[in-house]
Amino acid sequence: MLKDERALVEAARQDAEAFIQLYHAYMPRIYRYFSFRLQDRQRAEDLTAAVFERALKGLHTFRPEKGSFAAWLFGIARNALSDAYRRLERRGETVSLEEAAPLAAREKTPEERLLRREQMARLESCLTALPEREQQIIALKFGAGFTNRRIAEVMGLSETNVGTILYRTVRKLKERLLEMEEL
Amino acid sequence: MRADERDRDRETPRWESEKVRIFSEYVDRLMEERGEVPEELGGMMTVAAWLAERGEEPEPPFTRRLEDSLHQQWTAQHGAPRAPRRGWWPWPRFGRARWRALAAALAALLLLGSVSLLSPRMRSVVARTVEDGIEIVLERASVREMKPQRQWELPPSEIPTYASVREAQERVDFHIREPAYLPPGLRLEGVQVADGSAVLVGYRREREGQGIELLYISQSPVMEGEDVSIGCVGKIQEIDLREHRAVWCRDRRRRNSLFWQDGDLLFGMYGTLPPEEMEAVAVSLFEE
Repeated sequence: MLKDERALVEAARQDAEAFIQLYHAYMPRIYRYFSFRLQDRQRAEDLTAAVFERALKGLHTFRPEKGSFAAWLFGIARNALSDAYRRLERRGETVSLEEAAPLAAREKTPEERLLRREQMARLESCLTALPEREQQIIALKFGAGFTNRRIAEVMGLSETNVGTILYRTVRKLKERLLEMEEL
Repeated sequence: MRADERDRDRETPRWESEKVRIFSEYVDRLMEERGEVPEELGGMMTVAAWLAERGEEPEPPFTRRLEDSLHQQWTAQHGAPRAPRRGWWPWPRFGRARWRALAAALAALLLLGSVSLLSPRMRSVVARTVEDGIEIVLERASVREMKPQRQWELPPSEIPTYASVREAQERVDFHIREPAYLPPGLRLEGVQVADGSAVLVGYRREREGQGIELLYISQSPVMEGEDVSIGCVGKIQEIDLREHRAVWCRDRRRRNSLFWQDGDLLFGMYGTLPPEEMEAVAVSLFEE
C-alpha cells in the first residue's frame, strides 16, 4: 500500500512525520471497517481512536518479520471489535436496524428511502448471520477497501482462498436476500 | 510522500468502490437486458454494490480530535515533535552540500534547455501550439513553459459521475461528441462533468482492463484568461487528424495521449490501447 512501508514503520518509532503518514494511509480504512461492521458512527469513532492510540503506544512491539503493518494494525482492530461486541452483549445492546441504513438520506423520494431502508435492514440481518470469518472478509473488502492480497495478509489466508470466500459469501447473501423477499 | 499524493491515495479506495458500483450496475443492467449473464451473477453484482455503499467516511471533526489526541500522546512518549518551519524563508534549509548539488542541477538544466531549443522541430511545435491557444508543457528541461500554469487534472472523488453521455450532456453547454468507432469489447464506463465545462468519458475493456478516456474542455469559462497545461513526458509527435493538427505524447502515467483542438473545444484522449486504435477512435469523432 505505502511505498517502502517497512522503512516507514521503522522510522515511525521515532519520527512523528512517519507515523502521520501511516495514520493517513490507514485511518480511513480502519474507520470504514468499524463503520461497516457496527453501523454506528460514535462507536466507529471510539474504536478507531482506540486502535491508533494502542498502535502508537505499542509500535515498538511490531515485528515486521512476523507480518505486514496492515496485518498488525487490523489485528488490533479485530481485537477492539471483539471487545466491543462482548461489551454490547453483556449490556444486552444490539445495533439498531434504524441506524443500519445510513445511506437512506441519499435517496430522493420517500418510496426510494423506504425501499433502501428495507434493503439495508435485510442485508444487515443476512450479514450478522454469517460466520465471523466471512463477516471479517466482507468488512475488509467492502468497508476497508482492501485488495484480496491485503485481506489475505491480514487474515493469514491465501489470496485465492479470499477470492473464493468472497464470491461464495456474496452468493450466499444474495440467496438469503432472495429467500427473504419470497417469504 | 507529498500531501497531494497522500490525499490521492486516501481517496483511491472510495473512488474505486464508486467506479465498481457504477460499472457493476451498468454491466448488470446491460447484461440482464441481453440475457447473456446468468441471473445469479447479476444479483450478486447488486449485492456487491450495496455492500460497497455500506461503510461511511470519517467526519472532519472526529479526525481533528483524533489527530490532537495522538499528537498529545506522541509528545508524552517522545517529547515534542520537530516544530514546523517558520519565518520568512519558505524552503527547506539546505547545507552546503545540498546547495552545491542544487547549483549543479540548475546549470545542467540550463545547458539542456539551451541545446534543446536549438532544435527547429521543438521550436516549431511550441510556437504552433501556442499560436492555436493550446499550450503543451513538456516535462523536459528544454521546453518547460515560461508562464505560471494551472495543471489540468480532474480530482476524481469530487466530480459527479454519470452512467451515460446523455445524462452528462444535460450538464454542459457544448455538444459531447461520441465516437462513431470503438474498438471491439470497449464499453462506456462512466462520464464525469467538472465545472460544466469539462467532460471526461471513460471506456474500458472488461476483461483486459484496457481502455481510453476522452477529455473535452470548453474554452469558456475554464480556459478563459487562464493557461491550461497538459503534462507530457518524453517525445512528442505531430500528426494530421482530419486537417487538424494533433499531438501525440505520453502522460505521467506513461499512457498514450493525443491532444487536438477543434473550434472552442480542446480534446484529449488518454489510454492503454495501441496508438492506431486510439487514432481511429479520434478520427471517428469527426464523423458524428
